[in-house]
Amino acid sequence: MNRFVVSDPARCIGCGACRVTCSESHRRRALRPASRISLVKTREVSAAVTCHQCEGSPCLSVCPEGAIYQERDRVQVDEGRCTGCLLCALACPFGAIYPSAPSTAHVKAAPYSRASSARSSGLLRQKETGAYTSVVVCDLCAKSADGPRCVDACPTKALHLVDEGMLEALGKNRRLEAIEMTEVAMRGALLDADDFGEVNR
Amino acid sequence: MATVKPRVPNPISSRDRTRRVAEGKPHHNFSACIACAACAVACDAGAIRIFIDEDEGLLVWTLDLFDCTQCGRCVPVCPTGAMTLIEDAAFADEPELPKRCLFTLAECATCGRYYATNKELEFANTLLEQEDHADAARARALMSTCPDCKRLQDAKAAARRAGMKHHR
Repeated sequence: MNRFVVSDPARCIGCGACRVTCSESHRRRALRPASRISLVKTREVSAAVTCHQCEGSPCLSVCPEGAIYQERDRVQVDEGRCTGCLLCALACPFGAIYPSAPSTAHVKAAPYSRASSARSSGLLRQKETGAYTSVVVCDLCAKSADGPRCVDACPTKALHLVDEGMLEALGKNRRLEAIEMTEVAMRGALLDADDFGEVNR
Repeated sequence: MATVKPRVPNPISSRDRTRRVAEGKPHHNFSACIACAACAVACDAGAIRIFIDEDEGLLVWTLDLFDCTQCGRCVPVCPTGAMTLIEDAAFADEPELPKRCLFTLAECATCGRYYATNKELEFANTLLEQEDHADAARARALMSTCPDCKRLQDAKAAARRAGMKHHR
């Protein structure tokens, strides 16, 4: 089973340290400096999400250039071969593929005469500016000797390297814990009621 | 003066991108084009451009031969073979009008924003249909959702696993 990075939303504070580390560690290895992990922050949840290293790899099967390849247990992008058609970004079931520009890029076409871009998603807006030449995807820091850098960088230890089986086990444990806690709370409530009864008597 | 290293091609830089491509006047086949914008990305002269018309829900693909340097880079990047070269075409005596092609945009099933052209989604679906892996089936099922919403769904799934309250 392929391993991938997940975050624990109960611990994630949305600081963005994983994004910075991701960008910096890839830049140092002469890869695109775009971050391969992204933060989702809503009123209810803040979590870092990234590639799940699917074994069927939909990104790989739609790539017309053969620029995405699977090496052992991780997908990687051949940045020189990618043309930036973004078919993989559409096919990805987790939205974890991002267009990226080389550090020397400039905006080719400024979107002018636009009243608003509120109705189009980020991907479409980037197509209009055309300031990318390749896509990036989480490669679990394939070129770093000591594994995914984001996991070490997280200040609240919210990121973990897991596989699907571990995730299911984790979910099951959480559910069992939750049941246990409910039972404890119920028992507590019953005890409280008894105490209350005694006082009344 | 410092010695200059001889410039030898390395395996990364000598790949497809820097290879000499055939030059000539580009020809665009609308029926094969899916408006993926790979040609617009490859075009350094800015002759091929993409505009989004949100009012009409259209993506506008334009080719202006006035700006075209006939470098031919738009041809090898095309995933559907919609761009071809016209052999031995000299510059036209009369100016040609820019070619404009319209593509309808697809709205995300969750947030309702435009995220890709319908033809592009259809093309990706066709490619995924050839795969019989469960992951390909999941990818096809989620094709009508934009990548932004997919990330949000992934985060919500993580919240469910963590047993957090107040999520839907």
